[in-house]
Amino acid sequence: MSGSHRHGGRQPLACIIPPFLLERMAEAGDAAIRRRAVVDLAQATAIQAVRDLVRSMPSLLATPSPGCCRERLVYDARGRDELPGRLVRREGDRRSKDPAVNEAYDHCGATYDFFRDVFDRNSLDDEGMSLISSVHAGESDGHGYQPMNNAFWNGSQMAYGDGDGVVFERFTRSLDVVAHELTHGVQSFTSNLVYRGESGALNEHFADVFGVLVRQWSQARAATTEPVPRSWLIGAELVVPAPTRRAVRDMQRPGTAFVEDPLLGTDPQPGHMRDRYRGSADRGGVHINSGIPNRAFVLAAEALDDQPWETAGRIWYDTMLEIPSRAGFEDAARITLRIARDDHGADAAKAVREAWKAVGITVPTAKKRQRPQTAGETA
Amino acid sequence: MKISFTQSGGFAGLVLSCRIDTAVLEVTERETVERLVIAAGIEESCECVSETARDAVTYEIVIERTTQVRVVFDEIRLPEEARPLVAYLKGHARPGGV
Ligand SMILES: [Zn+2]
Repeated sequence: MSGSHRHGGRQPLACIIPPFLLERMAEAGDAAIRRRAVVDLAQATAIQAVRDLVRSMPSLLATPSPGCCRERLVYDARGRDELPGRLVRREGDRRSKDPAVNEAYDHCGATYDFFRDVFDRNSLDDEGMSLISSVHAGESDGHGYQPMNNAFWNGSQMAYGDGDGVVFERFTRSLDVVAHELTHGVQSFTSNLVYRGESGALNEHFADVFGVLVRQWSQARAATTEPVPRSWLIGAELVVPAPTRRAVRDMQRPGTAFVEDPLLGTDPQPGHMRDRYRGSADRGGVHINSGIPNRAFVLAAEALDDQPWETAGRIWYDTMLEIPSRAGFEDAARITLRIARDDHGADAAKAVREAWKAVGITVPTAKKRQRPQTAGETA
Repeated sequence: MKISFTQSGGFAGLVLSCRIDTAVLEVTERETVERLVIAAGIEESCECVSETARDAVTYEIVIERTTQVRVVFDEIRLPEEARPLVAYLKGHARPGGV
C-alpha cells in the first residue's frame, strides 16, 4: 500500500479525471487484462495524477502475498476514515488484545480456507492476493469522527466500523459479514457484476450466498458432536438484540429479518419477482432485490440432499465465475440451470429450476450441451 | 426551501429518509439548515459514487429552492464540505422511503 487514502477513494484528483473512466476499465471482463491495462497506463504516462489515481483504484493493483498463499493483514483505522491505518496484526502474529482485530483475522482466515478447500481458489484473485482489513473505521461528520455504522469493500480491502451500539455492534462480529465483503472482492476479479439494478442485486446475492456458506461450512467443520442447526440469517451477531430484529437479512424468508423496528423499520426484501423494488434508492435496490435470488438459492440448496456448499454452492460458484457483468436474474437462473444439468445431473437441475420458479423466474427448457464428437464416435 | 434526504444501501441496505421544509422551522433552526446547505456547496445536480466500492452507504439530497438540485453521493465520495449537512439530515432521518 502506498500511503493512506480516505476510505480509499476520496481525493481531489478524482475530480480532475472522471473516476468513471478508470473505473470503467476496472469493469473489463478479464481481471488480469484489467490490471495489466491500468498498470501499463500508469507506467506509460508521465502524468503523476494518473498514477495517483491508479493507486487509489485498488482492485487493479492487488497486493500479492509474499508466499502466494494465505496472508492476512489487519490494520487499525483508529476511528478515522483514512485507510488502511496502522498495521496491527499480520499473518502468523499472535492474537491481539483487541477482539475486532482477532475477528477480522480469524474470519478472513475462515473465508480464505473455504474458497481454497471447497473451490480450490487461492484468495480473492486466485493468485494469493493479501487479505487486507481495517477495523475501527470511522466516518467524518465534518467536525470530528464517529464510529462507522457499516462495513464495506472499497475495491481493494475491507473496512469495518464499530457500529453505533444502538442498532449495530461492531461489524467484524459476524463471520458471514466478513465473508460477504470478501466475496465482493472475489467478484471484482471475476464476474464484476455492475453494481446497479438487477446485476447489482446479483452482486449482493453472491456475496450473501458465499457469506452464509462460509459460516455454515466453518460451523460444520468446528462441530465435534451434534450437527449445528442450519441458519440462513445474515448478520445475526451484528444486530443489538431486540424483539423486533433477528438479523440484517434472512435468505430463507426475505422481508422478515426485522419487522416494525423503531430504528430499522421493516426488512424491505422481497422473496418473489412480483414484489420486486423498482425505485432508485440503494442503486436500484441492490440490497433489496437480492432477496429474490437469495430465496431461490436456499430453496435449491434445501432441495438437494447434501451440504449447501456442495452441489448448490458449486453451481453458484461456477455461475459467479462466468456470469456477464450486466446480467439480470433470468441470466443467473439460466446459467445455474445449465451448470446444474450439465455438471450435476437431473435431480440438481430439477431443484434449481423449481427454486427459480418459486420466486417467479421461469427458465425456458434448453437442450443438454452436446459434447463434440470425436473420430470413431457415432451420432 | 425544502430538502428531501434519503439514505440507502450500506451492508444492511437500510432505507432512512426525511423531508425538511425550512418555512415551518423556528428561526434559529432555519438559519442552521440554511447555513449547512450553503456550506455544503450543493449548487448543481450530480451523481458521484464509487463504481468499485461495495456496500457503501448512499445519500440522495434534493434541494428545492427557485430551482431543484438533486445530488447523490456515497460515503466514500461524499465531499468534506457536505458532511455537516448530511450529519444533520441523518439525525432527522427515520425508517422508510422505499
Ligand atoms: Zn454487499
